Amino acid sequence: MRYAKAVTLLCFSIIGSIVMTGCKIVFPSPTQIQDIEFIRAVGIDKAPGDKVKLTIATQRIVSGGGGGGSEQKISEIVRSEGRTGFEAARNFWGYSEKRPFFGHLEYILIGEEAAKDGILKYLDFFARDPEIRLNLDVFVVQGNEAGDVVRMGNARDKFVFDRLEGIKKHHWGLSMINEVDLMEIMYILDAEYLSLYIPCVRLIRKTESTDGSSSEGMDIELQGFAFFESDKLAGHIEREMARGLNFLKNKIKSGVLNIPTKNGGMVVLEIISSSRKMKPHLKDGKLHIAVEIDVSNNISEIQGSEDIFDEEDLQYLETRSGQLIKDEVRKVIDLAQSKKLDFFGAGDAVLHKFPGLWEDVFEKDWREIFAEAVFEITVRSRISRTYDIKQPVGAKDIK
Amino acid sequence: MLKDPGKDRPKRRNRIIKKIDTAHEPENSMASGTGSEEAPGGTARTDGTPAGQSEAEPGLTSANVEGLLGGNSDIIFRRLHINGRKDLPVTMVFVDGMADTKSVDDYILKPLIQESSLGECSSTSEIIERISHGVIYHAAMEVRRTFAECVHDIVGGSVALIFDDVKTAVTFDIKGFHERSISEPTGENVIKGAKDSFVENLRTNTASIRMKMKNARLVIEEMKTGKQTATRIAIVYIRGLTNMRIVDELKRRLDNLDTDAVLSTGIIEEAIIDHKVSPFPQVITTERPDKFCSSIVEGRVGIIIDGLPVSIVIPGTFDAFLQAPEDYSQSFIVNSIIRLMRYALMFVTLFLPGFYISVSSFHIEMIPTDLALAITASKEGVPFLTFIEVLFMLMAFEVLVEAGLRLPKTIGQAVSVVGAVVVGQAAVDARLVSPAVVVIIAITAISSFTMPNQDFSNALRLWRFIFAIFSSIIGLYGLSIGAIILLNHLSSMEVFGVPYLSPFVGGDGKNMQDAIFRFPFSAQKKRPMSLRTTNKRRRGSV
Repeated sequence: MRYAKAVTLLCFSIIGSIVMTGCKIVFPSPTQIQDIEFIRAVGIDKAPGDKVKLTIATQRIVSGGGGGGSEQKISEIVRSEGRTGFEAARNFWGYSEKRPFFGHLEYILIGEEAAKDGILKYLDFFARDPEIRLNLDVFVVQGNEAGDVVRMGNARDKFVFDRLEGIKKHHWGLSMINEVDLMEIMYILDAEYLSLYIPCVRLIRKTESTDGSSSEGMDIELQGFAFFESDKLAGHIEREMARGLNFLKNKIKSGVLNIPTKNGGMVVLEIISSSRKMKPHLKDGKLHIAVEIDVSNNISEIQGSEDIFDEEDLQYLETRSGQLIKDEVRKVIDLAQSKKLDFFGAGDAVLHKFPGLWEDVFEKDWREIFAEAVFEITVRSRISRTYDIKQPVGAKDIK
Repeated sequence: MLKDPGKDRPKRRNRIIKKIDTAHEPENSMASGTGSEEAPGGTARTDGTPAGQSEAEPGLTSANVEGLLGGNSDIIFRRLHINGRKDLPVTMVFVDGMADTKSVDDYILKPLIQESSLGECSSTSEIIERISHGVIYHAAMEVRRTFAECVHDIVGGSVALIFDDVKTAVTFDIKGFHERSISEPTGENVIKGAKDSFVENLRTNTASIRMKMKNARLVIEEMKTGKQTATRIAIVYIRGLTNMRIVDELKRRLDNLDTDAVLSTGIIEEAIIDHKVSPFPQVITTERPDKFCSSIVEGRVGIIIDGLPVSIVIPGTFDAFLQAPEDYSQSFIVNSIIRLMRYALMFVTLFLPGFYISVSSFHIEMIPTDLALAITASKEGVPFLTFIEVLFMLMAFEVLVEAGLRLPKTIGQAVSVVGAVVVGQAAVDARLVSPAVVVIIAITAISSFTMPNQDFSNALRLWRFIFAIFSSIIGLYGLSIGAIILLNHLSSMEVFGVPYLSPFVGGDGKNMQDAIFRFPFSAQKKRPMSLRTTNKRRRGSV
């Protein structure tokens, strides 16, 4: 009897858990994995007539025909237009023999025009659709339409998403970009005091094909950031300044610092680690933010035969490299303050330091306060290692 | 002398058989435990037949015995005159092939005919007196005064000397039938470990146990079950260590067992388990005396059945089915990792087909993109839904396993070749299944082979199908519901009052020294808590 009761209860709870899921369809129909089209990258552009244009890069593997043929990865570019993002995405269904599937979407590229128009209306669909991952990376295309990047970056054997993946993975050597995913974008847009920044992508021509077959193919470069006022593109930060922003965001992994020596030579330092602390404090009723950056470097290259391995020279190099970094950071802060856009997250530091004051005073007027705040930058740069060759070739008195 | 086998005999025989049955009801054969006095090869326990039942029974005479057993070709009746005296007749009865003929000749027949001291006796009762005091040199001797007892001894392999005038029989336990010698275990082989296994003979098995455990408190109680077979069943435990409530409950359940024949462990197993509708084994069956003994020492209770080379250990708990005999002869570090792997593979073999169905038909976004593309490519041209493919392959695998089991070894290999070629290669080439599914099922199958206990593995086999079906309906959500049902089922199970999932439940996690990881023996301080042994500490004196 007790057993029967337990079984009944179990049955009810199972049926309940199935029926009361909140889904309209209790038993969703299974999707056959071979019936869907894997979309790996999408370019969003503004089309004439206030329309949305989506350019997708799909991927699939086709066998070489017959049994045992070699398998080949192929990618196709498909375009679609619609009044809204969702309509454009659905329009694919009309002419795609497989169901377009956004579950494996990894990269969203936003065209420059669309970014100027305000990215929120273009991105909302991607953030809302349950199929789409929120940790996908978003890039802003500089100088081109996003569709062009997707189309021209997609060569026969190098697909745009693979390239983005590769560059993103190896870009730590330069530290001039930094991934921003959809979730972070939504978070920044939600927090009114923060300003949005998104890494940039552009088309360049660097690789020369020897047989001339892929002459129309272009290379992709990831470099710099676009910063936004609200959700509208407000400007770009490039190269060293972009690295300055990464110093401020504490996202530096490596990088190259060229330091001129006293005698006109050049010593190249490789950044090996960097840490940043942001310490807000109040002085004379004004907000001061101390930015302390600790950098550790290696000597990677010495141009000229000058022997720099004495304490005085190394100290000089450390000071100069510190100054260089300080300048980079200063430029970014100046730009941010002049535009009154806090895209490196000073607001977060203040919020955590003065939570009460933040709510009462800073929050509602943060842009003005940020523009007026005093940033005290201190950079401690150290040279830790010098690699194999101690003295450069041709140095005067080799010890 | 020889009674004419008249027409009334079959009728009469039926009546006698009925009487034997009632005389050997299990509850009657259960006497209080005095097993420790029993020596290997010693006498079987006296069956305490209630005195009240002997009234209607035929008298213990050679004529009556012959009336019951006379038609059998293998039963030998021999009328003798003791020491040549015609006034002292005796009938010797034994089953040819079960009694050792040479011993019968040398130790019974010879003194009976030649011993002059017997010739001096004036009556048969005096002879019985002298025999019971050692004129006939055989250790295991019983004086039987009821027909049923005597007949039972005879069919059990004893030699009976029936003295008609005093209606008494003397039986000698001279079993001499051919039995299989102790050989290597077939199902539970180990490299570093004992190479003996149980055999069919109960006495040999109890002797193997006594040889391993020279412990005066080791109790081997015996009882008989089976209306037609009267199979001897020995219950083994350690007095002062084992929880007597488990022993008593086991005896009660065996007493209540109503069956014709005990020719397989299944009968006993089914009779003593609590949850008869569960596919999960609730008793441990083993053919290894060392494993049996280690379970007894742990505080479990063992059952040995005459005629079966496997023993049963109760209660079977979840962790016991994932312990292999080899575990205890390896370094505890290595063994812990292997154990961990075994637990992981249990989940793999249970969930992998269901998981594959779920992710490839409902949660495609969960698969890493490159893998998803590879699966897509492998499924190209396969007309079936994923779950049909998986179920088909699971079925094919089960069919192959079953076919391999039933066939003789030599043909069995042919099956595996056909299986490998047909299922592995041809089915993929014919685009009936995708290579990805073949890989999934292969992993599942190989994982299931790592389970040390076949019964447990079979239960997992069944649940694997259930999970696959649940997954094909609503994906991972269904898989989780299935897992909840399984967990519910397992955690609601109790075996002899011991939670089935112990030591993972009910012990506050304190008794995990021999569960997922095997701790060094010095760190295993307590016997399994859930068994509620009287002697709680390992190595503790009783």
